[in-house]
Amino acid sequence: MRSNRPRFVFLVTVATAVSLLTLDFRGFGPMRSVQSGLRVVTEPVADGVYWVFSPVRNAWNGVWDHGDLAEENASLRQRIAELEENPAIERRASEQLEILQGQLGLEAAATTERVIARVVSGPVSNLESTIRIDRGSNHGIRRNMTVVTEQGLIGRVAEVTPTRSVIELVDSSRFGVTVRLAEEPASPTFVLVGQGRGRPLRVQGEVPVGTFVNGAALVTSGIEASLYPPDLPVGAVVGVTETPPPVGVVAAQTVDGVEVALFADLASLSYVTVLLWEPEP
Amino acid sequence: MTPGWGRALLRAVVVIVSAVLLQVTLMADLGLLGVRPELLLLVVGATALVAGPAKGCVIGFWAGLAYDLFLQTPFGMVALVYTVVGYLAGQTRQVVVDHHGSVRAGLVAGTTVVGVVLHAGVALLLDETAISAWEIIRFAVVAGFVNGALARPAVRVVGWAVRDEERGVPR
Repeated sequence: MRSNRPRFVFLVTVATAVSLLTLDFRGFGPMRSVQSGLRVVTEPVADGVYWVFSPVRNAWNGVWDHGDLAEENASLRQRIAELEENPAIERRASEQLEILQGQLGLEAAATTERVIARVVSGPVSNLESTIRIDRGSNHGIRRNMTVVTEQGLIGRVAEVTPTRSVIELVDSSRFGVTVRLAEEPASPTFVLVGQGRGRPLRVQGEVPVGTFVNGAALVTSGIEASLYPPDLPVGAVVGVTETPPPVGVVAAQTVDGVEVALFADLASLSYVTVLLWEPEP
Repeated sequence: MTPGWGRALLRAVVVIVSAVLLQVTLMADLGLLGVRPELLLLVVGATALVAGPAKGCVIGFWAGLAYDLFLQTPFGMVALVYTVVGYLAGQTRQVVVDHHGSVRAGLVAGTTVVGVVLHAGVALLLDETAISAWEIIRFAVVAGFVNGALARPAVRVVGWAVRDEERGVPR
């Protein structure tokens, strides 16, 4: 006769896991404290293991990334050739650069205190879009602070321990930021959401036809209660899909598929800047 | 409780903690074709193969819970997934008669594929990721291939960890 023990053990462990999951969804305080306490305890050990295996990691990446670098190099050369052949694109790119350089000097981004941090590792899971940095609450970093590079917004602080922070990148599906058109300070605001690692961001909801054109630059709106300071460069529109018009209507009235490519290159982050900026309560 | 259960528990803890630390440190930057190896699924698959469904789901639970500590997804999500994976893999082991090297490798690879797909499916269901079906397949195949290749040493390590003191290394 087959024993019922495995089934019993299975049901007990599943019930325990489901209970923990439920408590987490309900934001059960003590469990969060235990979780962050354990993270703080394991951090030095994880750092030690990371340091010990650095040579292995470097050797491995040297072997496997060589092809990627060659591919990236070829793709950049092709892009430069395309830009040189097309003066209109080049002009547009120059205009955008000027706008963004202007934006970079503006208000909060320029005056806010900042901490420069080194990226110590990428995401620990294939499903995440995060990085880990070597600065934490000891350096003034708090949860939800904005993280940028010189190219623009890259994410927000999702988790902080005294010496480390986890940054959730903007292409994460859990990420949303309110933006506006860089060229029109009085333009309406839109919510930009991530669609997963390596994919362009998407403007949420439908917007009237003509609001966005390809190449239009977007910056953080800085609306009240926004987690992000105003005027940080985010990305440029790279694709606009019109909503099929209702029956009997000839032209589309709205667009529902506005895709935005980030200015920052999330695939090659070495150093990032955390803005010690928090929205006014 | 059997004599020496404390030592068996300690060995299991050593294996799980080592696997988690390697996963969140070394594996975080060690991609193969852009996919991070799934070391914990290797441990869960090997345990289920060596010790059956009961130990498979218990090790799956604790390995998943330890992994959850380092992830941004809801606490307990991976523990739930790995518990199910450990149990299913253990049940499969009971119906497979041939336990030769290639069959073991195939079972561990299959467990990894199921684990990756299940993990991604639950994450999609809870709106914790926006991964495409194509990416899930890619992650599952590459991780399954890597874990299949590592099955032999993993089975030996896990066999040492979960053996019963009085019976020796389980086959």
